[in-house]
Amino acid sequence: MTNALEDVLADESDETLVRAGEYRVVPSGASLYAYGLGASVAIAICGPDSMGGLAHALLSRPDGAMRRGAGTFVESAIREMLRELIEAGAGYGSCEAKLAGGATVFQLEGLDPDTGGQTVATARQELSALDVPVVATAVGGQRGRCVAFDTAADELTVATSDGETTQL
Amino acid sequence: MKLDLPRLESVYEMAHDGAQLAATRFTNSLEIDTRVRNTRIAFGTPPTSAADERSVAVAIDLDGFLDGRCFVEFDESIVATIQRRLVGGRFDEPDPALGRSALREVGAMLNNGFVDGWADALDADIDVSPPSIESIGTPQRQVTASEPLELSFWSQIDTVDHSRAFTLCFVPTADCVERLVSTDAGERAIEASALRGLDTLLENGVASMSDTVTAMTGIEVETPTNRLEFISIDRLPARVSNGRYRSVAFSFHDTPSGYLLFLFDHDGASALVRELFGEPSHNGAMARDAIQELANVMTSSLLDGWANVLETTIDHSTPAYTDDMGAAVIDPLVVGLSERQEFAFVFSFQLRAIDTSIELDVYTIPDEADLLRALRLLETKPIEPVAQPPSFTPTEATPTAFAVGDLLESDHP
Repeated sequence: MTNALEDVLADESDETLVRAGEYRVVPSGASLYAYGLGASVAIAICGPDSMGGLAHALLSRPDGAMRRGAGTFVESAIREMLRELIEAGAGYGSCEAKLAGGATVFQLEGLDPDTGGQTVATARQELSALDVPVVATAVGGQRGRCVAFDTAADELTVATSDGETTQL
Repeated sequence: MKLDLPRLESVYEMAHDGAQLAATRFTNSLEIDTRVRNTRIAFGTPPTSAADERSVAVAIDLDGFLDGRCFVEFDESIVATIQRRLVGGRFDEPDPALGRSALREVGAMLNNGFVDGWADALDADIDVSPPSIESIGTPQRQVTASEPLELSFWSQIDTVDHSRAFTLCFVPTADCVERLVSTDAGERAIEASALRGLDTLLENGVASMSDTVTAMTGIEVETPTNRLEFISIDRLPARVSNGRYRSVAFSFHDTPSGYLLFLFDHDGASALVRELFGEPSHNGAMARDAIQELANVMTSSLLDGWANVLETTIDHSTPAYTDDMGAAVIDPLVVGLSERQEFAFVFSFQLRAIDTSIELDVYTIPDEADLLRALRLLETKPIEPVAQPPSFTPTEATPTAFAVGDLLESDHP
């Protein structure tokens, strides 16, 4: 864990890690975090009564042949988190989203430098299609990020390795 | 014998599910929240654990469709926690016999949970022996080498505060490996001899890289860890520390293609640059260029060795340097490969300088389709391991005078 993330989580005692390719939905008051966001994207959805979900998605959409979990893809992660939030009592139109990640950590021959940007764009499209407004973002740029999502405070803290911390 | 990649992927998932089941039982029984950090299949002789030598293992023998040894390695801190939870408060003084009994009981529960995960998926009967407590490294030595293809399954389980709790391992016998992953033919089948050849090729590459580092810097190095693994791409970032690293990435092309990533921890990078330039210290740009150039020469050394054996050409990109969190640095490579494949063969090793704090982690992640082409070439090319260099005896005046500065002069007129 980086010092930046340790600082972010210093006051947390019940944080749950969301690994690459995973999503989690938690009841009121729980904290979620994700680290190692380079080109990948963190999608935080805030529901009513401090319910919330966090996904660490790697890709935009599944290829037909892939058998991977819903959390790997922006599209399925958003739909599954929203479904679980609604099952838990959230109403349509009562959720908001925050996004972080999608950086170009380095440019390398053979890697699309805008993969992260495209993944963020897919997240925006999917959330818009489901009437979930994106209320704050910390996306793009060249730094990797880690995030901590405090569902009780409805606050997404974004930290980079150079010590910069932003509250969304 | 041919290894079938689709079957390997299936048994990987079984091992991961078995580890999840074991972690859930541990959490429910001891009320210590745990999760599977990652699962990997290691090729070659089962590696010794990263666990502290004061740690212990609880092993069981398996018989039936799964045949071999299953064991759980407990880190010392979790052993104390387990014993406190199960026997603490009953006695004024700790009772070693009771402590061992508690550990054996938890070890059996975890091993059985892991095996149950497999048994459920395979719908097979598996007999298990009573558990035995053994010292670290002992269980894997009890299994007869499983030629023609040695492999072992490893899952690391962490507590919720992210420290390692225990490691689950299954080392199958040769017959069991054949039952689990062999095939007669298939588009994604690999000849076992070619995979062994790849392992040797990679080890030779590490030796060549080490020689290159010593020639460039005068620093003698060793490679304490060195492994070829098969892993779900989504779980690859969990293999990499999230500390801050000076990192250099390359892509390489042709047969095979893929990515190479060098992670220098900050202290090690500073020590390396000090060794190269001496005191007084260097400026940031020179340090970056020195690290980049060292990685560049090491990459050429590795890939040239492969190309010579495979009789192919392997080009590599210019270096891409960044100073960031390790997991965030490997993330773009994971995302890039994720678009084409769900699993990857990953070759990783650590290069460590003798007598200094310099440490470097290197990850080689080939594209599967091109790796399969390279493996077809290896089917007909026996590869001999290079002779291991004699052990290094440090002397007081280790030369460090190779002029990386000379390499930099062309960049910094």
